[in-house]
Amino acid sequence: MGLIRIDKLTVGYKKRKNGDKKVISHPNLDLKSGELICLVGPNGSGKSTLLKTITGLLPPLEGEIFLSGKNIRSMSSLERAKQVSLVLTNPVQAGQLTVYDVCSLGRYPHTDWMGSLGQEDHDMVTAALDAIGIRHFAHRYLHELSDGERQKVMIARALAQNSKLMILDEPTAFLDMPYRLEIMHILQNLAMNEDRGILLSTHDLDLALRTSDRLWVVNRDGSFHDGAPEDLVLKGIISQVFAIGEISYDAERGRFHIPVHPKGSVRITGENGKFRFWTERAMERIGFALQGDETVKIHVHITSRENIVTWIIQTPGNAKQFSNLTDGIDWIQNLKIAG
Amino acid sequence: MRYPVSMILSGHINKRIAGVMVFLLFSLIILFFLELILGSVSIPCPEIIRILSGQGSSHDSWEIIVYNFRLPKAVVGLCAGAGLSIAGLFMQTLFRNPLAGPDVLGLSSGAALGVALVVLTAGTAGPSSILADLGFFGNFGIAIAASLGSALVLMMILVLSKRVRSSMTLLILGLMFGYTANSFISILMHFTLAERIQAYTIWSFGSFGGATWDQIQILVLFTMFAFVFSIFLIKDLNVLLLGDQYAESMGLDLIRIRNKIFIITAVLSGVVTAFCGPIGFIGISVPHLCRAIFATANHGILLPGCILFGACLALIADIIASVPGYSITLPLNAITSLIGAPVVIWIIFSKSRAGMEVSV
Repeated sequence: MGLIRIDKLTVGYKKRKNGDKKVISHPNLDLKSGELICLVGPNGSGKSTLLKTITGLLPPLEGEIFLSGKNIRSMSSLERAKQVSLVLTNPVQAGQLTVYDVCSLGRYPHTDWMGSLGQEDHDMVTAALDAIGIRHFAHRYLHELSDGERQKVMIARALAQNSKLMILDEPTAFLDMPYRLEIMHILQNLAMNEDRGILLSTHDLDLALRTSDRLWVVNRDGSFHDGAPEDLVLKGIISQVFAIGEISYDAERGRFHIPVHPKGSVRITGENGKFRFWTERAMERIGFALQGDETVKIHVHITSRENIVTWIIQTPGNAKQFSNLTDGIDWIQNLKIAG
Repeated sequence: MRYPVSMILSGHINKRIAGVMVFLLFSLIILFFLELILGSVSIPCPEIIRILSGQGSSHDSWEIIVYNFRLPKAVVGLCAGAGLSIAGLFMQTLFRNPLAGPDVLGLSSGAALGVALVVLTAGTAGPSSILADLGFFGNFGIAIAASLGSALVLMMILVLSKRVRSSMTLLILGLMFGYTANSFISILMHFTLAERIQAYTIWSFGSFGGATWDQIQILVLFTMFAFVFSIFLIKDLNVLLLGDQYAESMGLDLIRIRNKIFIITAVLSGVVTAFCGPIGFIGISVPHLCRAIFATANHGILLPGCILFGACLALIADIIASVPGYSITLPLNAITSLIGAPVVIWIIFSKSRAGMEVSV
């Protein structure tokens, strides 16, 4: 049985007059434990609204959501909290609370009216801190931590809540690159080792494509796609949903294509490997398409001798040697070659 | 592993926290006795104990002074300080706003309006003190009118707080509610007899000494009810610290807890204001001082902490205001403001220096 099942769902805010209603309809949407699913889609496609509806913060306007086979409408808030935990985008601003305190608040749906913690609760909190790798700063105060560390604490708290399903609404939006990677890595491990089902929304398409088991793509018009990330790329869904203006998704290279004014073509010879790769990237960036034949006007040859790499750039009537690409690119751009 | 400082959540009561609690309790007992001993007439300590234990005193006047003036003042001060501090603590957690408090957000003004409506419109000619000789129904009426007044303001703030994110904006709104309530009071006063206006003005300076024993019974009853009820909210209040959405996702019934906090806060600030006048700065400053002393945001510690510390602070302010040894008394509100205002300034400065928005 899947952790989430969604049936002809309409999400949105009731009070708003028309507009802002999203129909997300998919007959067999399903999330199993041990699975990491990324929800991607352009701004305004209703990602947050969908996640908040699944967590029970918003009532579904129409259609049904089932958590572990039980309809979310018939669950009390405590029952729901035992099934699903939530991590939000914004870092929590709370003073005088230690990391351990925050994590133990995750035990809220399981403790008595006083909120006192038994041995089992302590074990659960400690295990959560260990799983995220933050036990060494359990005694530190939340307000002393960086945004990335704080987000890890919130994930540990969600883990201590001990729900099978964990939902994260753009958990890495405010974080810098290393933390984004680390959090995604942590979430992958959680799904795998702790047997949780994890659903997160993100704007980082590249990271989503590389880490999620399956991808949920939601478009502005409410169309919904579900599948392995690679399948969705091959079917052209990613390029269709994420194309904006001249920017398009290049399915062959697996990255976004940023158009530049074409200036000519270039032939690259010599070294292979990383020097070749980044030389090609540099040439594409300044508008020179790669070509193999010898009719092109610019020829870049990469040589390496005793670990010293040099670029020899030849144009009709001109040739020069460079020890780095910065100077080489500078020289090419000053040549003013047409076609 | 080494347990963190504030580990009462987990049952590990920190020794320092227990020590501070005991210290506060002893201070409160000592301050309570000082309230009875100090004053314009000095009564020796053994006599006080004899009077309290019912053995009477060598001077009849001393017995009257203790029973009719000093003991009521001490009891009222204790309840008022503790009640206002709890109201402040709850409001700061509910609004997630460090500058929330019954006085700054206009609850006291709302309560004052309730009192003014009852007192200024009631009799044609009255005694010099507005609290004297109200009778049982009058006493209850004034308490309920004040509670309704503060509930009205609180409700308006609660509605507006969903639209306003900034704590400073909410504070300004609270001030505006206060001004509005005060202008209604001014209008009422315009149509009232001069003696009533004078009595109302004296009441608005704040005093623990104005209530009769009947009124004190109501005050004690309401505050005790609020304290006992508060114990059941500790767990929910702690979860609220992470914000509404997190709290709700963890299974908290947001509307229910809001209503409960709402009732307690309105009743506490209403009843205290009714019998003591609007007392400034205790509600906003005591929770911050407690957070600083106990180094925790856990309501399991802050709740008893605020009760003890708030009561102590109110008694200290009252002792200073009564200027022991002299026959003059200063307005109580002036003293609480002198103690509380620097605390608020410290809150604003210490947080903005650290480069962060002030937080609870």
